[in-house]
Amino acid sequence: MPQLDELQATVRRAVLSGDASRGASAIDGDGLPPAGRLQIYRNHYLITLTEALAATFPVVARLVGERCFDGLAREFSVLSPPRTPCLFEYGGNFPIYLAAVPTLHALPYLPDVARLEWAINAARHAPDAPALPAAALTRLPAACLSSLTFTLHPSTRIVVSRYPIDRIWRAHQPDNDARERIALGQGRVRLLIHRDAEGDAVWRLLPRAEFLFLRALRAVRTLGEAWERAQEADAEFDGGRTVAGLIGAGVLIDYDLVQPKP
Amino acid sequence: MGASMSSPRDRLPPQTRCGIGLRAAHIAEVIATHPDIAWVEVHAENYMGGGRAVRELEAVRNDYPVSLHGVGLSLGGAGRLDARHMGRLRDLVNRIEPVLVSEHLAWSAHGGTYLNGLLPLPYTEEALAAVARNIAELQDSLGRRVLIENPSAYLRYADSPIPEAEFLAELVRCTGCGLLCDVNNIHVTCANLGGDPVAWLNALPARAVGEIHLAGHCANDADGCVILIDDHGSPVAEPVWALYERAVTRFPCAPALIEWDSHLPPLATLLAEAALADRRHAAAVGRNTYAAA
Repeated sequence: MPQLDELQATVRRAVLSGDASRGASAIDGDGLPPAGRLQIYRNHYLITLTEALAATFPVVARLVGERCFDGLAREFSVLSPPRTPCLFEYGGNFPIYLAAVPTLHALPYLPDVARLEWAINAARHAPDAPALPAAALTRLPAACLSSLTFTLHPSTRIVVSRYPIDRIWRAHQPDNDARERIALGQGRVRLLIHRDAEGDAVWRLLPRAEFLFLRALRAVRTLGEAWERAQEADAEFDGGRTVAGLIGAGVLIDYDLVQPKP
Repeated sequence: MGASMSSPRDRLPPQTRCGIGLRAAHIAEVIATHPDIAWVEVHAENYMGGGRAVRELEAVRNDYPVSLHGVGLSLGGAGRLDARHMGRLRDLVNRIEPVLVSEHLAWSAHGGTYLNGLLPLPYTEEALAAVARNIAELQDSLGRRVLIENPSAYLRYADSPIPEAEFLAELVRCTGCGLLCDVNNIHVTCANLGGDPVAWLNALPARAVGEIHLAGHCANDADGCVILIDDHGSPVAEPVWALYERAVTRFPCAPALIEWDSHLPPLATLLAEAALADRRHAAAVGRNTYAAA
């Protein structure tokens, strides 16, 4: 193995594990010992990734408190190091990690709040894609409409939780000083997260029928199939109006016409 | 003063005043109030997604010369460069048309893991070949010259026979790259590892230096040893200003830039620090600016 590769593997281990015993002999020992010098790089790694996670998961940080969050973020950053140099892409596994920490089981909604924050972060930084003009579908013959499939904007995410994570999220925004008691047993919530025309990540609650409709469209089901699926939850569901709304919000960005099956 | 009328998008005019590192917290203010800034530099990795961030950077680019400063390419990595990351950098360069593109003499990734820091290299022939190969690949991919910055270091490897400034000079010779001379990093590295900052500065090939960085550092007590940490969290220290005054007599045409990352102060503080750099530059170079160029 080339020496440079071996040396970098050794330093990587020291930064991630804090165990400098194997790297020490490769480092000049004048003044501060090698372990102390490697510790500076390890501290930088832990501190900057903790800051990055706190920026992506501010509500989780408020729910558990700063000290607890720092400890969680440090453990996570060692267990699950970044795979890309873009810090806004770091932390996708944090909700899974939180669900596995036994001491957090008293906050059963915490992983779902983290999934919402990750979805907001992903929506904020997702690639750009041109929107569909509002009148895009009006030129199409009415008979075709039920055979359309749609492409969703890359920022689109759907998060489902058995806890009222929408209310928990709102109650822990920095500009919200009101103390409120939130009952956890309010039933399932379904949230649509996407980017609006200004480029900001936004979310709203989805009624069950619209959730089933969007989930079907996301799975490249036709408009007709998605509509039927939604009407199982709500006989009054209007797929045409919903599609117009989703195009207006920039959620649906392209369509395709599926040839009817013979 | 908008620079869009007076400067081409692909280069800074001669005698450019000191610019600032522009951070996310200040971007909205810069777009709204349009302050007098000579040029700005941003971290490329923060603009590799879509949405508001890159849209705002385009708005800034319409009014100011922008430099893209990469922090994650790991040019010193023993393995090959991350092709996906280099593609994203190339896309951003094509979109923003920066006046300068720079990266670091450091490694930050190994085996697909990013250590989110600028780790030091052993200055050996093997490392020289690896970094030169990676810089050449980067410059070929971008179709332009890249400036390479000297890092701040907290350790030196036992086997590191080539002096850092000579290592950089050799990279210039092998690849045709330019250099980004960070005078704060010279001061920090020489203080932490021993070394004469002035001799370090004098060993750089002056014609290759295309940019100067200025920043603050802090002093940490580590087990009784004072270690300087390059935290970009305070005003430029007096010894670094002194080194800057020497640097500008050697590289009078290289534009300077104030970097500030932790404990980010109001924008006005950054602009005042940049103005101070201009006064220091003028005092050091005086009327010899054009002659020395």
